[in-house]
Amino acid sequence: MSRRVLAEGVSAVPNGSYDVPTWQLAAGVLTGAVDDAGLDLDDVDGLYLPKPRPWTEQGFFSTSLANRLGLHLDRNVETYTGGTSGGSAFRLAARDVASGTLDVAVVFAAERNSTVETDDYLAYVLETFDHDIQAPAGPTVPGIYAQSLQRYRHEYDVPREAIADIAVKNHGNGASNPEGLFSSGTTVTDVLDSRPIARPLRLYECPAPCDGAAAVVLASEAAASAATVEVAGTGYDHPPSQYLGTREGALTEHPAFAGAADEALGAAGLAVADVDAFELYAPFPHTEAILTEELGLFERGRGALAAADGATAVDGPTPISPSGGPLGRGHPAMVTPILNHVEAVRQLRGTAANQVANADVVLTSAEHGHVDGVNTTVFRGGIDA
Amino acid sequence: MREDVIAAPFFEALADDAFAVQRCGACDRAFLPPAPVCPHCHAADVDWERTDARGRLYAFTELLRTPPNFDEPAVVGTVVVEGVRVLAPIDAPYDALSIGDPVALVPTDGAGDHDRGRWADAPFFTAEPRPDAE
Repeated sequence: MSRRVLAEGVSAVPNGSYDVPTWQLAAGVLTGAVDDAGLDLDDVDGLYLPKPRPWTEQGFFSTSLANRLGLHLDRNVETYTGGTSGGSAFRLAARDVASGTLDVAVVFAAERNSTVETDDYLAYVLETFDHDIQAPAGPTVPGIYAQSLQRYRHEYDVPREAIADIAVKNHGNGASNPEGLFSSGTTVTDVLDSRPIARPLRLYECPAPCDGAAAVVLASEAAASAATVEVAGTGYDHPPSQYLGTREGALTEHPAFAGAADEALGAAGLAVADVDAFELYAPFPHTEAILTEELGLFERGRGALAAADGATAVDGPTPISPSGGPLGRGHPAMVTPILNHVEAVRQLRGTAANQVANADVVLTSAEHGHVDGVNTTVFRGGIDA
Repeated sequence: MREDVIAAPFFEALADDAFAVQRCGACDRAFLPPAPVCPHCHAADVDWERTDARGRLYAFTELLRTPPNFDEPAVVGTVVVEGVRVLAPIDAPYDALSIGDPVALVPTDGAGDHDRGRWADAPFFTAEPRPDAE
């Protein structure tokens, strides 16, 4: 049994700093998305979320929240696989609606990174590297992306300014997104003059951690009243890889993205050329270029020039992250995948802050970068439920 | 409880001033991190092999912000040895390095004061620039 899955309601808070409990942020977007869907809390059958990270005040997060809100659940799923978590939660929710397991699922995430000290965060991330033979080297995540940037420029002779142009494009989009963390954009000069974080990566080329929360309600046609957006396909892929690229491929490749996008587009009966906008989990500028190359939108090494050419602008032929993405919008990492999904629904409703004209199909991703796992979702608008 | 720790020969090699990788007897490819089977072909016929500890610099960075109890800044990179990518601290200034530089992986104390668990007393390793032997 496979039923149509509709994206019926969305809600998000602006990225920033919040001095309220994380559960309260979560409850706000959960009820907001249910309201937006024209449903009641009584209608909610399932909760799907990334497992909150260790600095979250409340353990057993989803059960505690469900009790607080009086939700009687048929399914309750917390996932944790780094940056793919929100995408995995979403994919499992869509599957359960499609299979008839339940009619109304809420996919959400809430995170307060303002409460974690940088040292504690870096110590936490260090333990995601191989305990025995990688962590004692003292790596950081930007330190890995710095190496893939270095390789990308080395292999394809990419001008340094072209990488900064991608950050400029995303910061510009983020500045005109009222839910973004920053109120102004930046310039290539300012990007390249910002302080180095992990050479050659500069501060404005790194995503800013912040607090955030977002939710999407998925519903069957039986439960949906006025939805115009459907989840047309989902995909996942994960070749063996742990921070240093796959054994067969270069550090400048993300083969999981190609695999996951093929699966989602195939399920939707669509091709890459049918996609009108992309909301990608691309926390560093060259990652965005590599992801577009994996989709075949640009030749290897040419994706970096697309931002300078305007090809990936909101009004360009291949809009990438009209919302600003994690670079331009701010990056509550567990929330970013859900924000991407919220933005996709808004594009297809015609209500996005940076609206792409006549958008009918949007592709989103949730990935954990050089660990090389990716979730993708294809949304289609214009649905008459 | 009697169980051999798969990674032990890696650290025993470092204690003997050597750098070891695992190699598959079926497909002949080398690999890390330590595993009970070959990650390329899944054969169980895998064994430890001590290398000449020579490799090439694949990529590198200078971290201006490091994890707690690691020196700051720090140069860290990826070294290819016997076809295997290995993350390593690098004992050289960032500006003195180039992709492809020959390096040697030499035993050292750990790069920082970090809880290494069962390997707390074992050496770790650092990459040092080392011109190719004649």
